[in-house]
Amino acid sequence: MLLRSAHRYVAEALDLEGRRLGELSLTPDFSPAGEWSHLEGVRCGALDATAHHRSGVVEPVFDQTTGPPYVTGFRVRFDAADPTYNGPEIPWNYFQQCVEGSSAQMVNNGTLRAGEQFVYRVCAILVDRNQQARSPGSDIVIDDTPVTLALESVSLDRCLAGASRLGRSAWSNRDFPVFVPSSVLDEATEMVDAAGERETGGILIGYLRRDSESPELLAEITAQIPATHADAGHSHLTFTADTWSAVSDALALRGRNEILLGWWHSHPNFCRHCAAVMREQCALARPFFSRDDCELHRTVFDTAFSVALLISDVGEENLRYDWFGWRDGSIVTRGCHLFPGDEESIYAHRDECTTLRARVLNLQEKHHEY
Amino acid sequence: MGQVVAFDDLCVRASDVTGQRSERVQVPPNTTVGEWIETLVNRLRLRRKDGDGNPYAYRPRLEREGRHLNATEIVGEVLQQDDHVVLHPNVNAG
Repeated sequence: MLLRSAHRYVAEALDLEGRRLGELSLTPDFSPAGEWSHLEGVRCGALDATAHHRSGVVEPVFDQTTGPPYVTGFRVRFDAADPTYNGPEIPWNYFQQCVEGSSAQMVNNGTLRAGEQFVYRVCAILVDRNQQARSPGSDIVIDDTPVTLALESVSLDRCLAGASRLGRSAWSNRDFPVFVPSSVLDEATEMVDAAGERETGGILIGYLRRDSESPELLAEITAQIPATHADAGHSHLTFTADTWSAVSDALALRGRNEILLGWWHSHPNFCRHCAAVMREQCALARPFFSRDDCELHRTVFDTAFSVALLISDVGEENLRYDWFGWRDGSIVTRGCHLFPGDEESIYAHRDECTTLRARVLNLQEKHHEY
Repeated sequence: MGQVVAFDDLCVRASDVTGQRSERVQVPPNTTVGEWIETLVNRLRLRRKDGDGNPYAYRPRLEREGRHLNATEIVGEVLQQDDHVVLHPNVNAG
C-alpha cells in the first residue's frame, strides 16, 4: 500500500479542564487504514480486487463544527478508483495509539507527568508536497506485480443458512463474513490440550470468495496448518522462518490455491496458581490479544481480510474462543460463522486432508535432513 | 542519435509470506543476501521494527530450491532469472 499525504498530523493535547498543554507531532502509519478502505471498496463493488488500486492519497475529513485544522477522521482516495467513490471515513481515534506513543515527548519536556491523563484533538496541517520523502528502495523497482485475488462466487445466503455465529458479543454487521469449519476448531483444541502449559498455534488457510448475488466478500477457512518449528513457551510463541517454510510446503502439497487468511494461537491458564481473589482482578485471567499478538497481526496479516483466533484457558470448564480482525484500520474483536460439520465444501475431503497432513509431516522431516 | 547498451539484468519476483505483496525487482549481483534483504524489506514495505524498536529478522526463501538463503551467499551466484523469493519473518506472539 503506497499512500501519500499532503498534510501532516498533530495532536493538540489538553488537560482534563480543557486547557491547552501543547502539540504532539504524529507519524501515523496509514497502511492499515488503506488496506481497510481498499477492502471496503471491494466489498461494495467500487474497487476491483487487484493491486493496481493500492496507491492513493490520505485526505483529512475536517470537523464540521470547529472547521479546519481539526479533523473527525480521514479517507483514503485510491489513484485508480472512480473519482466519485469517497470510501469510508476512518474515525479520528485511529490516531490513539500514535498519540499514546508520542506522549513521551510531553513527559520528557515536563508538560505532562508520567501517568497523567490528558485529552486530545487531531489536526491536519497542509505541507509542501516537495517535503514528502520517497519510499526507501524505490530505485530498484521495475514494476508492481498485480496481486489479484481469485474470487470464486458462492451464495452467501446459502452459507449463512448452514452456519451459526461465534463470538456474539463481538459481532458487528460491518464486518465481512468469515466461515470456519468445526474441524479446524477441533484440531486446534487438540493441539492446545497437547501443549499443556505452553502456547501453541497455527496458520488459517482458505479462500476469499464473492457472493453470487452481491459484491460482498466472504472468507472461507478450510484448514489450519500447525506452526511447526515454532519456539513455544508459557507466554510466547515465535513463528520462525522454518515455520513459514513448512506452511508454504503444506500449501503446495494441498495444491488447492488456498491463501493465508490468518493465524491462531493459544494462551494457557496464566493464573492457574493464583488465589481466586487475585484472578478476579487480573487482566491475564481473561482472554486478551497482547501487544505482541497485535504486532504479529500487523506485521504479517495486515491485509484487511485477515483474522486471528485466540484460544484461552481461563480456568473455566471449557476453553474460550475469541476472534480478532481489522475494522477501520484497527485490530478489534469480531465474530465468525461456524460450519457445523456437514458442509460439503468443508468435509468432502476430510480423509484426504488427514493423509495430506501425514505427508506434510514427512516432507518436513526431509526438509530438516536437507 | 543516441546509443545505449542493453544490459541483461537479472530480475526476480519477491513476495511477502502471505503473497499479498509481490514485486518484480532487479537483483544487484555482487551483493550478499544479507545486504539485499534490507532492500527487499523496504521495497515490499514490510515492517522493519516491532513496537519496541527491535528489528525484525527476515530470511529469504528461494522457492526453486525450497530453502532459505544464507546471509553470506552472493545474490548473483544463487539466483536465476525469474526466480521467486519469499521473505519469511521471525515474529513473536505472546
